[in-house]
Amino acid sequence: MSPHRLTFRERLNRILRRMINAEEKGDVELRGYLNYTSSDRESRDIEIDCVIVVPNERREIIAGSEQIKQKVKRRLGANLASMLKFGVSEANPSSDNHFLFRRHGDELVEF
Amino acid sequence: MNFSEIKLDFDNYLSQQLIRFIRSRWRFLFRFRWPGFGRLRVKGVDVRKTRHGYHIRILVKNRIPSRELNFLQLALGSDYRRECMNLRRIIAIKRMKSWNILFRCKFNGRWKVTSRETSDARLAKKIAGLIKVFQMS
Repeated sequence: MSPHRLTFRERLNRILRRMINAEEKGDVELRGYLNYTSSDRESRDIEIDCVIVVPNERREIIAGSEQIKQKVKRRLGANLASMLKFGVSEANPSSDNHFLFRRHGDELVEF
Repeated sequence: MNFSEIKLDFDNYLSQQLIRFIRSRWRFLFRFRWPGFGRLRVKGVDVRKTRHGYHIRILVKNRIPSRELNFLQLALGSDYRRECMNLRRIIAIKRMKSWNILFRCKFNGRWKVTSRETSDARLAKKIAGLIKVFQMS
């Protein structure tokens, strides 16, 4: 067998790797969030939940998180924007963009 | 769609502790005939290690409504704070369609990755095997 010829196992591994990589492509949900609860000051009970659906690429995820940060900064101030955390999860057919915010037990409002 | 995905977040567990917990609790839950959707019919199990513990996704051939799914996740041992937040999302936030989230990776505002999932196929196989045993015995 030539040194460049792949064994069955190597070929299978290569195919599986491609399949996994293919699965990783597509869209993901990028979420910027903050759940801040203060037990003694109701006014500091804050929840922010912003989702945008982006292609699963590093560049797009970074651009998307910057977009969320700027939107939160404009609407809610730089302090809260700086406290945001971000997470990436799999997208599904019902995935949709939203920018929601609530303070001291009020209803979530879109901004 | 007649499939549902049970998503569980286990923080501060080592693999042996997780297996011990599953042995102690899941037998009943996987044999139980749940009102509305019956016994869980498992199609696949995926386990991923995170910075603080494990994420487990169980694909089942049952159509489980949101509130029941939330309850089931709590009963199966998922982080109670996460499930409380999920309940609030389900009830109060009609516009939030995707309430059941497990993050593949998390990062802060300075792009520093704080947690990332890595696959644990061995543990997934072990848990799938245990569920099979629970449902057969």
